[in-house]
Amino acid sequence: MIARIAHIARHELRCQLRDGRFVAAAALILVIVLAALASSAVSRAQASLERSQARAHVRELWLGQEPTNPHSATHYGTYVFKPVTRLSAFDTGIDPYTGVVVQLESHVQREFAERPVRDSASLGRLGESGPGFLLCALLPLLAIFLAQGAVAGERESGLLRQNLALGASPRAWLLGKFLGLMGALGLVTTLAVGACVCAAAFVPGEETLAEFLVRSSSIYATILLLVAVTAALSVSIAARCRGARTALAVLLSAWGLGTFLLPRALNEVAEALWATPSAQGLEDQAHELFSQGIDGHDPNDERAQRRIAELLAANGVGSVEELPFDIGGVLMQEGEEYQARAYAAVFGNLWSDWRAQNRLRDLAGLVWPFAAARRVSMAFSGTDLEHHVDFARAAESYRGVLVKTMNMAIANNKRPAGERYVAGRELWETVPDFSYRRPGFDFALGAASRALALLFVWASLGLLALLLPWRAEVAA
Amino acid sequence: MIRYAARALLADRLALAALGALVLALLFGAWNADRARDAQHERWGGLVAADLLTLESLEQDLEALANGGQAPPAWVDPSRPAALATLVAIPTLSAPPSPLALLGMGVPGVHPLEAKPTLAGLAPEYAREELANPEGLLTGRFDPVFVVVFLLPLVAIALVFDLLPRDRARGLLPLALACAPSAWEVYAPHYALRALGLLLALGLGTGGGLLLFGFDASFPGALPALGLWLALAFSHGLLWIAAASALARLQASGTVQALLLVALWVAATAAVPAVVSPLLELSVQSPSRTTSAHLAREARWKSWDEKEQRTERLLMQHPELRPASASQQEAWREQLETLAYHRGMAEATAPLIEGLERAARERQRRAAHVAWFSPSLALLGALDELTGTGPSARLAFDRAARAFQASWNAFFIPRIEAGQPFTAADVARIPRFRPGPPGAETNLREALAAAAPPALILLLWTLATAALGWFQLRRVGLEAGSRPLR
Repeated sequence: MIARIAHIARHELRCQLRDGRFVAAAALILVIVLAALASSAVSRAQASLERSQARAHVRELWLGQEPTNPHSATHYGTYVFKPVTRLSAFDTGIDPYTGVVVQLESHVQREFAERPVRDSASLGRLGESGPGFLLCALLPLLAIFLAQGAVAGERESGLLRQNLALGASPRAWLLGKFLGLMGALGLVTTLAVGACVCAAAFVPGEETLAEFLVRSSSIYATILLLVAVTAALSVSIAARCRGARTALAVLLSAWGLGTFLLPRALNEVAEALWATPSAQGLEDQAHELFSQGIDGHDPNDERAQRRIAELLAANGVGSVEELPFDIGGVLMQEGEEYQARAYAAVFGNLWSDWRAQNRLRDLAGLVWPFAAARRVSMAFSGTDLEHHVDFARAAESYRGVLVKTMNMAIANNKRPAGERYVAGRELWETVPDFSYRRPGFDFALGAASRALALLFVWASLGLLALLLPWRAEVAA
Repeated sequence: MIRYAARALLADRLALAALGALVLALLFGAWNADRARDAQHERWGGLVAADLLTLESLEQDLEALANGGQAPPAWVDPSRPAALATLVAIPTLSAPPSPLALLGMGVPGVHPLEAKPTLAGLAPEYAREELANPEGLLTGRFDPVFVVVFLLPLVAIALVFDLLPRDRARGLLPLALACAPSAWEVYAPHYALRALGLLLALGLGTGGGLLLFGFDASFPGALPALGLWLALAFSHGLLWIAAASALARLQASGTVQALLLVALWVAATAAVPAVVSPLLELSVQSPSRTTSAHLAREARWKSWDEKEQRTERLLMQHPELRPASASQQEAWREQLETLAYHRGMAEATAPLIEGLERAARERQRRAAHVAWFSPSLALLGALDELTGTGPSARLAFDRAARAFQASWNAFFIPRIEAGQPFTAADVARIPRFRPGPPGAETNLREALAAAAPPALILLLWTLATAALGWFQLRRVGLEAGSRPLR
């Protein structure tokens, strides 16, 4: 049985490699992917270098600022630039849509700004066209095309009947066809993903070699799994349907629905179900929460007065002048901490709504595994929402450190009434430069777990479809 | 012949299902566009209302101040024109939705028609982004433009891909050809009726969407724009029907024809943009967003440091600006410094902004040429212009916003330089932004002009493919059987 399967598979592979249509289609896909990859790799490498320069530059600006009151320094704040991952050359994911920089200053948690997609021409309206997207969309289409030729074509030409007459079992024939097709498709996948990974390796990034290799091999495995699933389904459906027309209609409809139509349709439904606030709306929500806390800028605020009374009592003194620290710095820091909690709540709600929207959009993966493979590809490339949120949290945490250092410097450097504390470079240097360690592979695995599970369900279905008995005589 | 073609169409379940799906997709697209239109309208209305409220409260504050009320901190003091021009009275410039917004929503999360004037220009340093789920932006919107660009070709393919191959496979082709001089006479009624069915579905879906969700037909120019929108969408459908007829002579089976047509569709809608988009980015260099962010940051710092020197320089050049009253000196000088800060920032960021805008214009210009390689892109370009979401609408808005910016500066800068305190009587004279909707009235001619080149390219594509289809159908012979899949 195994020998017969291997024989059919070898024959199928040889047929595919000799078929000019396969060679042309595979070459076309490779050209399209390589064109997209060339631009993606160049722009990501450039972005990575620019980020390093920009990062050093804003640090220099922070340290080089004139002596001033530390709280004024927090109002000027600083900028943090989003890191570029090597594998973003393969799958840019949401990076062009999130903005590359976030301004850090006291009292406000800002959203990322300067979206690179704003500079794209109107072609951007068509949606994404990076190598990751193209491979996940086009390789399954190639699998459908090849399966039609390999299975329906052989049936129409009467070769299937001859094979069965020679003693090949229908299951062995189908498995052989699948393996032969996978040989051809695996070759195209390996070439395409291999080129992408090689190009990505030249993009300057901060991840270790081991991390890069683990993530890129996982992406390769995911795309290979996607191709295997679609090949198995295509072969099985083409074999079981009485007419090639019906098989093609079913497969192309599922491909079109799952790749182009449903993600967009579910996107609209998700936005209708989980309406998220505008930038101003989010700011209003945060301000509503602020009103329940201490206003660090207003010592006459009722809560500030209560807190002053508590501090006076705790220190056993009768007036703020007698306190061993500057009350303004302490109140500003307490107000800041309250505001940070308020922002954490409103941004937490926003991200939670975005996640809910994404989960609904991912349901397109139930019709065709494209959406699941894309989710995994983005997660392993570090360009999905979870990686973005992780970075946004790190930036916000750094903002907290920066503002606290400045406010506590004011608190600890009490000046006589009427005199303003002015700090210089020594204080600016106490704020460490922003450093961000990207979460490891386990984080990406967690972010992609649901999609991976769905892909494995699809893989089981594909395997089941190959192994289930079918009446080849009827089909033939 | 026509009756036979009609019976064949009514018996074709795949064709009927495809037409039904097109109607539903158009209605769903219109529902989505309606929500986006309402959101844009609400946002625009909210901004206009907020602007009016700001003016009202400004007037009250100024009256209270004139009656001896306590002066607020300098940076929000309404009597200081510099505070008003840079913080207190700044409106958000925005435009209402276009009359054809129900047929296409563009990419509102990426290119919102909004801007803020400051003394340093239109938000030159740090454009605040509107919040939008980035994965949603990545996926794209489902509006009627998406339906006619992406789905309509598939419906057209489903309608006709199997017309001739099926007859050939059943052995009916020789019979048909025996009754007519060529396959054109036999199959033209089939193709024509199916095209008519497509037109009906298109009209039903679009018209139904417009009726269900509201369309202001009285708006000047809205009906011609709608007519052109439908004509272009139908022309796109015809193109794909013609493409199927052009393949009829290949002797391919229906399955092979379908595969070929789907491959062409993938090339037109995904492969060409995927290849061209990166080439455009590589061929037109633009300052990156990272570079522009940190250079703008540097400009801000430098300008802040130099504001006092700049003010001194201004006073040396224009000693007549100094106010007569000594009591106003300090406030006046602070305002001059604010002005100097903004002017410095505007000067430093001008080359950067110019670079970004020049690159965007050049990319757009080159992208327009890509329509020659893909009819889908030609259609997209034309429809985006007609629905007021294309580059010409953005340019028109930008022009209006810049004109407003000039009037904003012309109103405030002389007052800042003169050191005149602002009074309640001045509030009514503050410039206000009141643009027409994109793609309407004054902008309609511009939108039509911008839509014309891609529309013509699409029509040329359709005519050329139809001519090829006619030529090929006339040459279909009596060759036996279809070429097998393998």
